[in-house]
Amino acid sequence: MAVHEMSAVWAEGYAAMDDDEALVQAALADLAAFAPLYRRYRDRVYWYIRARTAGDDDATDLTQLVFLRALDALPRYRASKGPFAGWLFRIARNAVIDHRRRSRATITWDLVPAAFQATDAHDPLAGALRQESLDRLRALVTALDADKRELLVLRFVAGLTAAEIAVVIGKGEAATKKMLTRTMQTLKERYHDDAR
Amino acid sequence: MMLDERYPDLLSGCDDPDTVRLVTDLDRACAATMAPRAALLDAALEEVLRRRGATPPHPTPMSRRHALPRSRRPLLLAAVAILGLVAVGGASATGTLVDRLFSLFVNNDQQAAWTDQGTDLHLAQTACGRTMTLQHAYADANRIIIGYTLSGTGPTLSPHLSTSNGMQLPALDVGSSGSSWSGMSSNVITFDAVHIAHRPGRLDLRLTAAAGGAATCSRTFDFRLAVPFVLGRTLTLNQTIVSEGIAVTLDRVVVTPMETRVYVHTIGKPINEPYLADLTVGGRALESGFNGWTSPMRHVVSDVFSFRSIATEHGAAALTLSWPRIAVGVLSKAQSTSGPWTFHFTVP
Repeated sequence: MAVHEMSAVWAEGYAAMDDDEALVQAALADLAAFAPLYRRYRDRVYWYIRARTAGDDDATDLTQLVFLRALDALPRYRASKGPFAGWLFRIARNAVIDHRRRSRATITWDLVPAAFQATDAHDPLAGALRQESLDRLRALVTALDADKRELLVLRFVAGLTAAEIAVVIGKGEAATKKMLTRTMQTLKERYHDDAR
Repeated sequence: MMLDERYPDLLSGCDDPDTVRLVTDLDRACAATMAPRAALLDAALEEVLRRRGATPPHPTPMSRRHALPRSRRPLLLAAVAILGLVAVGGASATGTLVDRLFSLFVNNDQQAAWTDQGTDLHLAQTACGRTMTLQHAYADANRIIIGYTLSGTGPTLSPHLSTSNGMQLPALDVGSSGSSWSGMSSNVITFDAVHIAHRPGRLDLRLTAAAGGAATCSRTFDFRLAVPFVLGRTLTLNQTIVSEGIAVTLDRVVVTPMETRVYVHTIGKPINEPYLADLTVGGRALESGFNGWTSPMRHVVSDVFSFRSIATEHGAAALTLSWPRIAVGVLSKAQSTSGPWTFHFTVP
């Protein structure tokens, strides 16, 4: 989908600033600088949420909610407490949890890891996993524990580093790295064995 | 960005083929795609920012078009600073600084087109104590992209590009690393190729730029360059749909390795209302062409939407245009939408 005369112009002056913290500071001085932050994370936040919700509608609304909450909370963000991406995805994680509590959702992260199971064309994982060689990987990922699946979603769908994931899940960076390494090792062994 | 750059924690120093394969497959499986309602999210955020008093740093393209002649538009371009990511002063392991800068903004197909179908230039000139070196250029029926480095301090350059017959090409956007005041910068500037009437296999161009501030030095960089011209495919469609008193015409679709452009014009649409376009080919929705780098364009006759390239794709295509009235807070449910106007055509 393309949109005419919208955010790309709005954020033109900030569009290629690489540093999240610089953009946060810029956004505190000029709200227009929030737009490139949003654009940088929009799809990753969406697909992270989509992995934990049942449909596109909820994921879209929650994505918007996350960025509105982030906009409101931006003055309270402190880089010294962790990277911006981790802070933002923690908001996303909490939004999903709140949403599930409110809606008394019967579909949960544990039951429907949508990013790995959905078959619609919009799903980044399921879409690509259609290929035969990747179908096996999907099955293996689906069989993992929920916390391990979340690690993989945060690393590969959201594109977060271990330090950022640590902020999201509320663990230490070293522990997060260890969990991620173990998860990858487990998955690799199963994937390798399965290919034989 | 290469796989080992995206996953240094998993692949750095790793020579285990099983690990590489797993990371590769997970990366493929998770390849970022645009959120299905991304444009609505964009519009809602812009509305929120507007309500909260954020001031756009530049006028909208429409107001800018009326305010200044097109020939002045390049002067308004913001040279955006990429802070930190691109080291200045030496070549990277994966290409020149300009190549690396370009790679930040584009997907793999666009990067391949830039490398394989563009041309190395290595043309250097020195004036006003500064050296401008044209490193690489790419040209197709949609856009002309030139990468250059600039050493020596001074004001930001505003390069102008013209064809051999003197026609000025509008600049679209600039990406920069470093700073013109820090002594070294890498830059990628894009010009609009839509007005190039003759489409030879090789395009002769002239790039000029005032080398220094008018008060200190009035010399000009003046390059002549020849760039292979990638014709691409143009589908001339001229389909018109009238609905709700508004006539929308799909003029043409221009497909090049760098992007797919859709040219549309409307009669009866409220002139300042933004609108949305979805393009599907073979049932798959296309992502936007330059992912926020490119300023949206509004040409004199047509409105232009940019999607990713479908240079290697064929089949049934559908373009759907609409313009929603955004209800912030419940994007999925509470919005009224004009249209849609849906055009069907075939990409041969």
